[in-house]
Amino acid sequence: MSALKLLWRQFSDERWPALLLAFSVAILAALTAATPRLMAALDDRQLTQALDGLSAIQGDISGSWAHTTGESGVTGQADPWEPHREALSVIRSAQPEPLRSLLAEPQFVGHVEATGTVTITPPPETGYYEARFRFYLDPDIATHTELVDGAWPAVRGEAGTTEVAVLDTVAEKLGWQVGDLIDASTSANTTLTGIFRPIDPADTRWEHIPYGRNFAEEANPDRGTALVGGLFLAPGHLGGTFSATQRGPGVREPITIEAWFGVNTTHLADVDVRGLRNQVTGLLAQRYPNLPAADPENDVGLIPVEFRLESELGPRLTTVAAQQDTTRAVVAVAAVGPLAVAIALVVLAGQLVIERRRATLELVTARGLSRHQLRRMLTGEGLLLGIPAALLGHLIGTLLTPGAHGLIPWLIALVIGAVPALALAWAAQQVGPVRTRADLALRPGRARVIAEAVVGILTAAAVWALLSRDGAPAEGLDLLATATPVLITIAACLLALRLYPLPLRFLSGLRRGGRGLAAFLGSVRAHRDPAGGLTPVFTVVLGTTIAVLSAALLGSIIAGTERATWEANGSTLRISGPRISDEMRTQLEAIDGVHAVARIHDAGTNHRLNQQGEQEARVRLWLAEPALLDAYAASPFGSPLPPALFGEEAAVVLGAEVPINPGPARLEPVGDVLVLDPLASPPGIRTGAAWGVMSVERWTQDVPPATLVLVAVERGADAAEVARLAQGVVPNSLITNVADQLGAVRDTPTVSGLTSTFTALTAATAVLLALTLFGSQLMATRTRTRLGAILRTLGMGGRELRALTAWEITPGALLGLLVGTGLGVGLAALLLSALDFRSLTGGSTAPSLHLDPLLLGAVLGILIATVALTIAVTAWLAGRTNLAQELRIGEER
Amino acid sequence: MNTPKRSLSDTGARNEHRVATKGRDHQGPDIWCEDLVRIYTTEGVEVQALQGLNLTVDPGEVVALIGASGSGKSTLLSILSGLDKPTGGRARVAGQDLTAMGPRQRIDFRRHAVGFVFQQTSRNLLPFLTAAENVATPMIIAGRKERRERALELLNLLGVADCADRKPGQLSGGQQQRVAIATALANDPAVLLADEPTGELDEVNSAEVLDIMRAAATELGTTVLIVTHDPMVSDHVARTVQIRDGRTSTEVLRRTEVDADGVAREVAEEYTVLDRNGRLQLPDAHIEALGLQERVRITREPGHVGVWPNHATTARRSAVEEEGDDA
Repeated sequence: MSALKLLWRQFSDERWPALLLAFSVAILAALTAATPRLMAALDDRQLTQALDGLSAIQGDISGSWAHTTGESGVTGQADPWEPHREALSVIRSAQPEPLRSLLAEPQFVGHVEATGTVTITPPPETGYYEARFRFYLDPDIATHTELVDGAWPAVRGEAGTTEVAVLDTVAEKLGWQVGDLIDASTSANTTLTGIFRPIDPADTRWEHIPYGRNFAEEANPDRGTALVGGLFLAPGHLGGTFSATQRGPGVREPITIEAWFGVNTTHLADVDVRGLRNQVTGLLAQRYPNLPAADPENDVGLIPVEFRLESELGPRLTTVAAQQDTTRAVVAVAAVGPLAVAIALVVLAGQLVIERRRATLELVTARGLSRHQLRRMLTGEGLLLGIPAALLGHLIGTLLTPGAHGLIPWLIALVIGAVPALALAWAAQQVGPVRTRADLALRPGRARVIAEAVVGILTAAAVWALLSRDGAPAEGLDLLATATPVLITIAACLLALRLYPLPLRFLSGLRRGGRGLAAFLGSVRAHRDPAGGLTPVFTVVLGTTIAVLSAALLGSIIAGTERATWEANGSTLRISGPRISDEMRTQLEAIDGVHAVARIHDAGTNHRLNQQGEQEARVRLWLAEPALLDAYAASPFGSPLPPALFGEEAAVVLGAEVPINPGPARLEPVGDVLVLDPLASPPGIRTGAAWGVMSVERWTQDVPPATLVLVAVERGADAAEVARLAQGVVPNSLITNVADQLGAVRDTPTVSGLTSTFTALTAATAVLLALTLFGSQLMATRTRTRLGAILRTLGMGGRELRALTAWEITPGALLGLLVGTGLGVGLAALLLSALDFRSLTGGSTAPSLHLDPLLLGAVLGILIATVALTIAVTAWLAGRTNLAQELRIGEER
Repeated sequence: MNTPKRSLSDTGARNEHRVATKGRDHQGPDIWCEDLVRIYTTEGVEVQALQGLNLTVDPGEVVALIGASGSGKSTLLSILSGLDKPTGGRARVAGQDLTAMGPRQRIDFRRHAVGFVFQQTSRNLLPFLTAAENVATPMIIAGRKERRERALELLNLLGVADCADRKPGQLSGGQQQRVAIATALANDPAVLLADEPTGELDEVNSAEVLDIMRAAATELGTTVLIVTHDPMVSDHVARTVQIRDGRTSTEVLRRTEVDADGVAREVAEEYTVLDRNGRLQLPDAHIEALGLQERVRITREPGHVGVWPNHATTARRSAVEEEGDDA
């Protein structure tokens, strides 16, 4: 017999409390592993979506320089593009990670300046009165396209002709064939030698070379339609000394070369967005040579030109960083619930282990086991239970969530694995060699009062700081906004723990004179001898608060995003692009299902607005048709524009940032206007900060053409069909259907990521809540069983016994659910006012609290079902008392 | 093992008091209490569990401490076993001053100086260990070697060697208490303290357990103090001390006398404990029979002290009671 054997026997005698402790540690470790990985995965998805949402023109990092044939550093080289490639590769290689991996290989395109445009008159049967072409040089054209007919052009054709290749659709439109002389008007005799088509028209490189995958049509009301496209020269033309448009050498031809690095988002993972943004800023701040550094051994007189790189990547990364900060704050707050309940479960499980072994521990301490030996024994057992459980939980957490693996998280798991040792050692402090009689017990410790006071002071300070600050920190996780809800929740829990006996006392008083013992006895036991102490009420309040908070926030974010979608689209359909004539407008109105059509004219920028000779501003003015009010009415949020805008008096609505107050003002060139209440932004209209909207009927100058129209579709009509018909009325236009965009809202990383994260955390909260409630009831099993046996000898039936157990648990749990629900909704409102959710919703105004009944109902339903199931199971078990065994009647000794 | 097997189940053993068989490194009584006081303070109310208790138990004695519920006997036992500290007074057990012990000394005291038998049989033994393993447990705590041999020796001594590999749930109540006694004796303590050891046993088993304890004291030289409220226990021990209101009140000493005809008879003599300040407690029966209340007269008689009721006090009380009845 050894100490280890004693420990093993003790464990084997009743394994489940220790296994419950191990299981709770595993869950805690899994949650701790999964939560940051979920946050990182959400961050990555947000970043990828943001970058993929940028067009190549916006997002690619590009620069350009002027090149003159015969005078550049690559003149006469067989591959004149190679030095440029090398120079840009050097730029790319010099960048730190992750920017270097983000940048794709450099690509180039050159286009001959405007003087080199070729204009021809195609045959009438083509339908075009004119075809205009620009010369392009694409060094990678052979890689990204396939020849349909003919051959790639040579640098210089026979008899000094200029050879070109052209897009297959252009050749088809104009009836060209290989060998045709395209343009005899110049001395260069442009000849078609090849017809190609792009291998992947969706490749973003074609945004830099649009005529490599398509051509344009320009409508001229007087002459008809003109075709605009590109003629592709041999790439080696860059190093030549010939002009594309003129015969003979020695003619210098200006070419603009654009170089760019595409943005490669395929391997983005766990990126520090702010760090990346700083790297991009650094990249764009410098000037770079377009040729490699001169090699003294092979100096052929290369003369590099310095150029700068540009991109809209930086501002987009700033937006993404703000989004991530908000998302992380929200997820961090939501994660507190299950983590705190998991910690409470670990502590409770530790108490349960000690409670079930109380007799053993009292005996061995009475026999001389020192506190040191006891702590050592429990610490050893805690480590043996906790470390494998934590490692297993961590493994499960990492397997269930995407992300990279690292050493630090495993170390954190080890620390979590040590928690049971602490929990057991802490719980064992209550165990001594003798049980203290209640009448001889010392006064209750002041520790709880001190802890409550500290939490209360911290909470009050945090709330005051949060509500009185000027705004969220510019960068980084908003710690104040993250910590304040947690503190409020803990303070509310502590208050609930103080107050919850009051209704129980009232209840027991109410039931005292009633029939039946179960209700009275159950409520008395609930507040005089609560099973598991204060832990069950604490966890129900905490878990419910955080789950309801998550649901309320998610519902508000979704509603806010939907509002932002309506704001962006303006109405059911948004049509933009070409000019919308009166005839087109009439045709649009005639489409079946259309309720209202409103054109919006861009009157240009720099309109001076003056008020009382003091305040002055210059705004971009939009002229709207009165039907705009009806078009806006299609939105569930209604029209933000007041009807007075289209009233008898000339009125204007300005942007909120324009420093002009509501009231009379003077607007050039209209004259006196009435400035109405400002608006954050006009729905459906892309505008900067200084803008104004007025009725087109009050415009005193020539009305500029409208390139934007908002169409409201009647309720019940098929918006997609209307959009299809509208496309026929306004060809080559961009039509966005708000229904498509609303459908896409729920697939955005923010919404889908937060939904899946909150769902996982709520489910974990429910499971942990059930375990904690069940575990706390198990603490009272022995006393309840003994009490049950005694009551049954007095004639109480099994059903009444189950009712007694239910009465013990239900009032506290119900109170916890009610307090938690109210607190969760309140905290959601607080967070919505304290954090800037506009970065998540994309709207111009912060989302307001929106309680989605389905979402909230689902969360509350899960929690109520969890609590009810726990109560039912506990009550059922309580009713199964073996009377004889418990009272030891008839057992021979 | 070459030592001859001994058993204590022969209640007929009449060996002489063999204190010398146990090694003691102290002189004087094994238990000595002088003016022992224990006060508990709870929610502003003081409870005086012991109010100046005096007790002396010599090595090898078997003493029963009898008192009603709330008399302070459990408190005394907690103090003597090192589980609690007195508020005032002095106490020494096995030569160790209980008032001056630090935590380490207290642990060592509980391991080696005293053995403890709880009232409930279930509290004495670990249910998941066999009888032998239970007896070995205190030895593991104390770091003692050759535990198995010593455990079997003790179980054999107490007549339950055949139960060595059985768990408590497989033993009768009497067997469990014997194993509990063996467990308490595992580290060869000088003093064995038992709290209501017969509380859950029937009369036959109770008598057996008490006889075992007495025989252990005789055989091993262990001092035994049994705390109980069962008067039957006093029939099995040579000395019974009554505790009342936190103080020792009376003692009964039993001895067997053989008269001139060779007939052995039990003689029990009751004594009232006199503390060092000369205070004593009179038995309730005497107080009620003689109507002693408030003040009494003390007279010194040849060879004894007389205690007389105060007639004036008695007359006044009677008059007050009569007035009360008339009203």
